[in-house]
Amino acid sequence: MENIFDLNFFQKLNTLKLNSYIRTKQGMSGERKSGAKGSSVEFSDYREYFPGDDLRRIDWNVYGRTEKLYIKEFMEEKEIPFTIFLDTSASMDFGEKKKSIMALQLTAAFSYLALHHMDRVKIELVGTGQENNILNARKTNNFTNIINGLKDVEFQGETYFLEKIKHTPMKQPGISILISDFFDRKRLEEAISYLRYKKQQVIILHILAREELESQEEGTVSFVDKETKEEIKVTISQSVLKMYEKTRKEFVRNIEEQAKKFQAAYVLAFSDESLEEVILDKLQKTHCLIQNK
Amino acid sequence: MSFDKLWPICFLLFIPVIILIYMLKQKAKKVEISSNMLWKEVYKNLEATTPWEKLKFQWLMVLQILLIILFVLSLMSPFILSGSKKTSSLIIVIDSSASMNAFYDEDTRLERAKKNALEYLDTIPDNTKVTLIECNNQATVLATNEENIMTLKSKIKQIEPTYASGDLSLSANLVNSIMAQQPDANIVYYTDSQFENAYEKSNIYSVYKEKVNVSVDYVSYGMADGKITVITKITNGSSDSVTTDVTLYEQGTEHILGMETLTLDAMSSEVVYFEGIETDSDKVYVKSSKKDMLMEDNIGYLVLEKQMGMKVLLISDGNVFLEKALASVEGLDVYKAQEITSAEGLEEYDLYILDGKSMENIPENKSILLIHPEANEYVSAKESGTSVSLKLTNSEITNYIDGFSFGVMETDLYEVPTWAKSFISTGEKSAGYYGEYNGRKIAVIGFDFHQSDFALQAEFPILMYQMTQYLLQQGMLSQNSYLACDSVEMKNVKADVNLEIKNPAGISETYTSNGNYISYEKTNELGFYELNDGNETASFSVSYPTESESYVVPAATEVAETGFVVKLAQGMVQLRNKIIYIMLALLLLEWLVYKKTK
Repeated sequence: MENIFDLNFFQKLNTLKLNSYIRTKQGMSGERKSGAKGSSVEFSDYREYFPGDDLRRIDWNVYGRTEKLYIKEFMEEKEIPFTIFLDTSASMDFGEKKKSIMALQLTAAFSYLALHHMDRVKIELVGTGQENNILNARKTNNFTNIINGLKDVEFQGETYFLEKIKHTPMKQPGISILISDFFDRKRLEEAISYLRYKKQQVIILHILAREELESQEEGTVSFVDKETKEEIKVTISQSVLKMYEKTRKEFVRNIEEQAKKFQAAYVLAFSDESLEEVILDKLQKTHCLIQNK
Repeated sequence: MSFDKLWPICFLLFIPVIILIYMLKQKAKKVEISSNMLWKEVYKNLEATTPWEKLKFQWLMVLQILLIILFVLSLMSPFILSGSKKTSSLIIVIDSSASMNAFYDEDTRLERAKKNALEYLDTIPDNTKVTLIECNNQATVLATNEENIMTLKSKIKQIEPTYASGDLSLSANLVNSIMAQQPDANIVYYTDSQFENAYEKSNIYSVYKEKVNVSVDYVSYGMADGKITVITKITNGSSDSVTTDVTLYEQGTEHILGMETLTLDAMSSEVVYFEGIETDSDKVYVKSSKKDMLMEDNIGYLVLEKQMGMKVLLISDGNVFLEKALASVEGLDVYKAQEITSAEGLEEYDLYILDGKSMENIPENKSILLIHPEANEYVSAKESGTSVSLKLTNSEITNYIDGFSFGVMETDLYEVPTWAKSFISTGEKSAGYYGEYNGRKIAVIGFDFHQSDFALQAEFPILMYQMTQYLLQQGMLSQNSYLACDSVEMKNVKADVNLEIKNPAGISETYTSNGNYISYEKTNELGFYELNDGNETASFSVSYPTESESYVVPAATEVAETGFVVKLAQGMVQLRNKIIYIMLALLLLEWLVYKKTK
C-alpha cells in the first residue's frame, strides 16, 4: 500500500482538495468554511457592539471615525465528516488486477485528502463477515492507522449498501463516498436518496475489472457468482455476447443516471487503470477534487 | 420430384431428438465471475427471445441432421418421372389384362400402373389433351382429348382388374388412328408384358417384376367304371424350386377328393393324376396351396359330364384303327354296319361315322363324322393331294396335340366352309375340318386312315376322343370349360324361355332367347356358372387364362429397332441410390469432422 503513495504522488495529492459545497455549523474546527461566525482570520462582517461582547474584537478605527462601537466578525472554519463506504464483498476481489486494490487505494487517497485538510474520516466496510468494520481518523498522523487498517481488510461475503448506510449515524452534513462495483444496484437509488436526505454530498466511485467487459469465447459456460456461489449456465453465441454488451452498458448508464438524479458525482474506474489517472484526471474532471489554493 | 412412400417422414422426429441430445450433452466450462447479475439479465432476455440461442452451431450436429433427412428421403424412394416430351396431346394406354392382377408386396401390377399414370398426369402441362385407353382382350377408349386432369384421374381410378387374356397390341389400331389426327402426341403405355405393334417413339413403362408363381395349367378328366380320373398340370414359372400341395376339392361341399404334394424345379411342370375318384357332384376344382404373386391361376375348375351310353353307328368296310380308338372312349356303345339300306332303325344313334360311305338315309340333325367322303352338301369341291405332310392345327378338338405332323399317301384337300374350322391342314388347304351347320355337328377327315401312319401314333386316339366328345355334345352349351372373358355361346335354347344364369359370386341374371341363341359375355368371374331354363340345368366353368397370362414375357429393356424406349422400374428415374452415395460421403465427412474436433 505504501509503495503507491510515493513522495511524488503525495506532492500531487497535496495540491488537491476535496471540493465541498457543504456548510456546517456543527462539529469541530477545521479548514472548511462554515455558516458559523468564529475566530478564523477570514473577515466576515461588522455588527454593533452589545454589552458582553469581547472588547478585543471592537474595531477602534471605525469608532474613531463614527464614534460608534462596532464588532468585527470573522468566519468560523469547521471540519467536514467524510464517510467512505467501501464495498468489501467477494465480488471486489476479482480481476487480474483486482478491483479491491483500486478500491483500497482510492479509500486511502480520499482519507489522506480529508485528513490533510483537517477533516474527519470514517471508513465503513460494507460487506458481510467484517468484524471491525469502522476505521476512524481525524488527524493527519492517524493516516498510518488507516493504512494499517485497510491492509487488514478482507474482501468476502456479500454487499448490503442500503442496510449499512441506514445504520451509519450521520448527525451532521458531510461527504459520503461510495466505492463499489455496484453489482447490487437495485437498492442503490434508495441508498443515495437516503444519503442526500442526511445532507450528504455523495461521490460514487464505480470500479469494474477489465475482464468484466471483455467478450467470452463461444460455447456453453457455467458462470459461478463469487459472492453467492450461484451457478448460471449460458450458451454463448455472437448474439448472446451482443446482448451481454448491451446489458453491461445499460448497467453502467443506469448507475450514472441514478447518480445524476441525486446530484451525486459519478466516476467509473477500471481496476487496471493507474491511481493517478483516476484521481488526477477522472475525479478532477467531475470537480470532486480541485486544486488547493 | 415425387415420392413412392410417405410414411418414412415420421423418422424426421429424430431431428429434434438429435438437437436435444446436443443441447443436453454440451459440457459447460466453469468460470468464476464477480457477479452473475448481468448474466441473469441476459439469460432472462435470452429465454424471452429465442430458446434456440442455447444451441451452439455444431458441424457434427448439422451433418447428422442432414444424414437423417437423406435417410428419410431415401426411404421415401424419390423419383423423377422421365421420358415425357412436352406436347399438347397425350395418349395413355393401360393394360388391364389378367396378368396385371399379379400382386407384389403392396399392390398389384394394375394398381402400380394406375398409380404411375396418376403421377404422370401431375407432370404434364395444363391443357394437354389426353386420350385414355384401357386394354385387356379389347381396347376401350375411356376418355378422348380430355383436358381436365381430375376427370382423367377419376377414370384411371375406375379401371377395374379383369381376367381377360390379351396385350397392348390390341390397342394398335386405336392408337394409329389417333396418331393420324394428332401426329405430335406423346404415347405412354403401362403394361407388364411385351407386345407387338407399339407405336414408334412411344414410352413403355413396365410394371413387371419377377416373383414366385405356380399355376394350375389345365384340368381334365376321364371316366372308367363310374370312377373318375382327374388329370391336372401344375407349372412352376419361377427361377427357384417350389413345394406345393395340389388338392382336388368337390365344389359346394369342399370335400377333399385327393391331394398330392409336389416339388417342382425351377421353370418346370408336372402332371398329377387323381385316380379312382367317386363323387356325386358334377363340379370339382384343383387348387395349388402355394401362396404366390398370382393366386387366381392357382385354381383350375372342371365340370364333369356323366353322359353314359351314347350310341355310335360306324358304317365302314372295316377299320381296325378306328374301332380300337372308339373302344377306348368310355361310355360309347359302338355299332357297326357295312351299308345303310334303309332309314328304319337309324334314329336311335347319337353319332354316325361314315368311313368312305354315302350319307343316304342318315337322319337330319344327328352328328356325323365323314371320313374320306364323296362330295355332298357338307363337303365342297375338292382337290387331291398325294404324299402330303399334314399337321394338326390349333382347335377345340386338337387340344394338347396341335402341331403334330404326319404323312399321308393320298388325301382330299378342301376349301374350309364358312361354318367350319380346319383342324388338319397342309399349307392353306385343309384335310379336315369340323363345325356346326343347320343344327348338326359335322367333322370331315379327307383321307383314309389306311393311307397314313397317323392311326399308329399316340395322338390318334386323343384326336378321336376329343372329336367324339365334340360331336356327341348336347344341350345348351357347346362346351363347359371357358377362359375368363370368353364369350359363351348357348344354343338350343327354347324360344321365349327365361334362362337364368348365376355367376360364381351368386349374382343371377335372366335372359330371354332370341332365335334359340344366347351369347353370354359376363365371364370375368372365375369359377362355376349355373344355367337354368326351368326344365334343364347346365354348368360351365371359367378359368384363369394361364397359358397366355400367367407367365408373360416382360417388356425388353431397350428395343432400338422399333424405335421405342422401354423404361423399367415403373418408368421413373429413381434417386435413392444417388442419395445413398451422398449419405456415404456425408458419413465420411462426419467421421473426419469428429476426428478433427476430438
